[in-house]
Amino acid sequence: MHLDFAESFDMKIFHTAAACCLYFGLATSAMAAPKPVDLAPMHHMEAQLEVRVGDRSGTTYEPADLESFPTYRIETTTPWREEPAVFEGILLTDLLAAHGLLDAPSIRVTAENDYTTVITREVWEAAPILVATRVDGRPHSRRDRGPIQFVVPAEDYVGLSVVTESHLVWMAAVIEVGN
Amino acid sequence: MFNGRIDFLASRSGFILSMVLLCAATLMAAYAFDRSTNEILATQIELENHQTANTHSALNDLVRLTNEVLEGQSGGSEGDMLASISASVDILFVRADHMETRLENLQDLFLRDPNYVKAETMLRSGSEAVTAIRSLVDVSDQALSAENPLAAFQTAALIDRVKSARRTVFRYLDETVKLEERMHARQSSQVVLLSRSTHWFLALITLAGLACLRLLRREVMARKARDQAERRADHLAYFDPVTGLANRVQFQDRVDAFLATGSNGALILVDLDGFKEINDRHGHIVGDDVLKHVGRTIRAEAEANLGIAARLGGDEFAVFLETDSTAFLKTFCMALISECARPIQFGEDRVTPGISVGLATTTQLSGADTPRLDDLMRVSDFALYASKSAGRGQYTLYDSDLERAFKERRRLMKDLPRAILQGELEVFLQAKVDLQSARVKGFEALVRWRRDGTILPPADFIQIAEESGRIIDIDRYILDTVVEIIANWNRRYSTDFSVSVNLSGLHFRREESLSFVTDALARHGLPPELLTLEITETVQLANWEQVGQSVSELRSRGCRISIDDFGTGYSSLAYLRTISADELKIDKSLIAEIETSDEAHLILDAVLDLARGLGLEVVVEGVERPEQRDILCKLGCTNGQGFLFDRPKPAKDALAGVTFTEEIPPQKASSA
Repeated sequence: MHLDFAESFDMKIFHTAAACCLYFGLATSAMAAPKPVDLAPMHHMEAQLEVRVGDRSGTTYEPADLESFPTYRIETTTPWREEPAVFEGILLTDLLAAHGLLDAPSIRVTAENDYTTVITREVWEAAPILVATRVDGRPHSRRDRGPIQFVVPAEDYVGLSVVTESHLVWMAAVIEVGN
Repeated sequence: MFNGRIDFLASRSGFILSMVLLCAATLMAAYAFDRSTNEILATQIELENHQTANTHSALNDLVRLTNEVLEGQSGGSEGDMLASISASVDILFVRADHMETRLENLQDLFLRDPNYVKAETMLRSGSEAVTAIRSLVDVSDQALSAENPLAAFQTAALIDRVKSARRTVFRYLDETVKLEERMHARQSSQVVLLSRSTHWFLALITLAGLACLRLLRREVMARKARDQAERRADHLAYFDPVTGLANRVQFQDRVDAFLATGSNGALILVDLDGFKEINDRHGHIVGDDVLKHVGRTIRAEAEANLGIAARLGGDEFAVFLETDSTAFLKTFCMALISECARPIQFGEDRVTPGISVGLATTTQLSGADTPRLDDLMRVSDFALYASKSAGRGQYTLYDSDLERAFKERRRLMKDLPRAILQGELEVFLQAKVDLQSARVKGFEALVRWRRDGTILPPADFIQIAEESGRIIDIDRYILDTVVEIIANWNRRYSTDFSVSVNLSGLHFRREESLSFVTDALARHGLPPELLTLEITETVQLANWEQVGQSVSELRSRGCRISIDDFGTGYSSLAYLRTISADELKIDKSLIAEIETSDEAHLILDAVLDLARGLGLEVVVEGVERPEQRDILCKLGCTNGQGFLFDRPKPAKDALAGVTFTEEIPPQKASSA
């Protein structure tokens, strides 16, 4: 696994700036914007997220591997949670950037249960997508739609027409370029 | 009927009502559209995206579990296999949870409109499927925590749960598809309804549009008509409708505007001669045609000289020329008169219009710095009046003498009634004598006006009296006075003087009565045969039958009738035939030439022959010299008057002079 720290540092600044813009522009979005957070290592459920670029065999991340990217926290409800929960994990954009997919027109995400969905670039440019590995400070479980779940602040998937429930992939397993 | 309703739409309340109705219809249609579309979309998304996908996924999840278990039997790492089986159970757990959430959503959607489609069976099969999956998850969890998990997954109870889950999920799928079919059917009818209401709505909008267009068209047409009427009114306000010439208003505006620049110009007033007679004789249509003809001629002449032509009203026209050259203006007037005098043919009738012209230039106006049309009009009127007085087809250039004469005439006209009332009129008598013996046979009564110390001869005021109609009163007064004087004189001095009195043609109009003649004779006791009524043929005597009748009546009362001024003016032979007269008075203009003109001599000879033939007594007027008397005697004239014998004198003097030299001793006269 290769990490470009400079790039990740830039991304942090970018996200902070984006968060500020959102704060001054859209108060509701800003409150739900992912907050950078430091996470202590913990034992995760067994799960893998594979990122495939082109014909090469993909990079496989376990939840702990993912958490080596800058980590963030969102507190939000989901279509299946009436009470808000604290989700922690990394930004999809950071992951995509690490694989040079930030400018890809779209990615296809497949879940463990064979569910697939296509996320276009305008979706990840419109709202922060958190690749969550922890819920309420605990490792994310399958029965809670984990161990790796795509989470978007509720305001965004309700308020923005490009972001829909279909993008909130649970039990995420594979990310690949395509549509 | 339709128009009436359309008008209602244009009224305030109609407009508001139709707008409200239109808006309401639009809102209702939009709401119905929106509601239908939203319902269709929401239900379709829910059914297709979630329910169907959910059931498919559930079936897939079940197969996955069975697969993992089968794989477990075929050997391999037990830990890995149990992890895979556990994951499959977790997936089923989440699926059940997810299905439940979606079913609640769908229920909410259908609950919103309970009449929409019957979905109870589908919802029930959905919750049965959720229960079956949950039951499977529970049994699987127990198996996973058993001592021998792989063996525990072989139990009949677990297999039974898998079967049950598969069946119920499939039924759920089946019901979902059926519900979708029902919904499609319902949507189809919804689409038909929508398209129908769209048609109705479009028809309504079209009707409204048509009504609006119709209103707009009516408005445009009305505006057009209004504009036309305004243009026509403008034209009427500034143009004469008969001739198309400028009217008085336009003429005044244009001339005043020109004069305001300080330039010089001339006003030419034109009056149609005898227009009333043309109208009386030929009718108003011909009258209008004559006006048009004259209008055209005047316009052509005026425009050829860059002038303005106008009809001021009635038979009055005017031309304004931008010059004050009298030589040019005189040429212009002569050309105008001769152009207008061209005869016009109306079927068999032929009308020769004539015009009288009076003109004045701004240079003739003194006083005003910038003269106005009214000033020019005032002085041109004097000139026009002079032209008309002088006869037809004349033009006169204004000068101040004309104005003085005119004003004098106006003063006379104003004073005439007073003259009659206050006895300023006086009777003078001129003897009528036997040419041979110079013996006085009678008198002609002549009127004089003793005015402010001077005595005015008839020539100075009779024409004014004729024009103003005062001549009737004057004639009556003179006749009555002279009849009284002669009757009294004859009675007192046993004389039998006769007297001739002039009667104006105006007495022979239908509305006038001649009974004053016989009244006077009866009142003063003068035998009728001593009264001779002298009638001059004038334009007023146009109705000869009427005149003939009146004259015959006077003759039947015993009065004598004399035709005065024979040989001048209008006298004609037809006149002689119509009027049964006793005497013919030959005008002095013929006598004046008797010594020098062979024609006059011949005419007189012929007239005397004619008179003899008709049995008329002849009296010659204006005998001034013995030579004239001798010629007249030679021609056979017996009676005459003139300065040779006697000048007109006040009645008493004339009577006394004759009575006392011939029959009464002078001393008796002095005592009288």
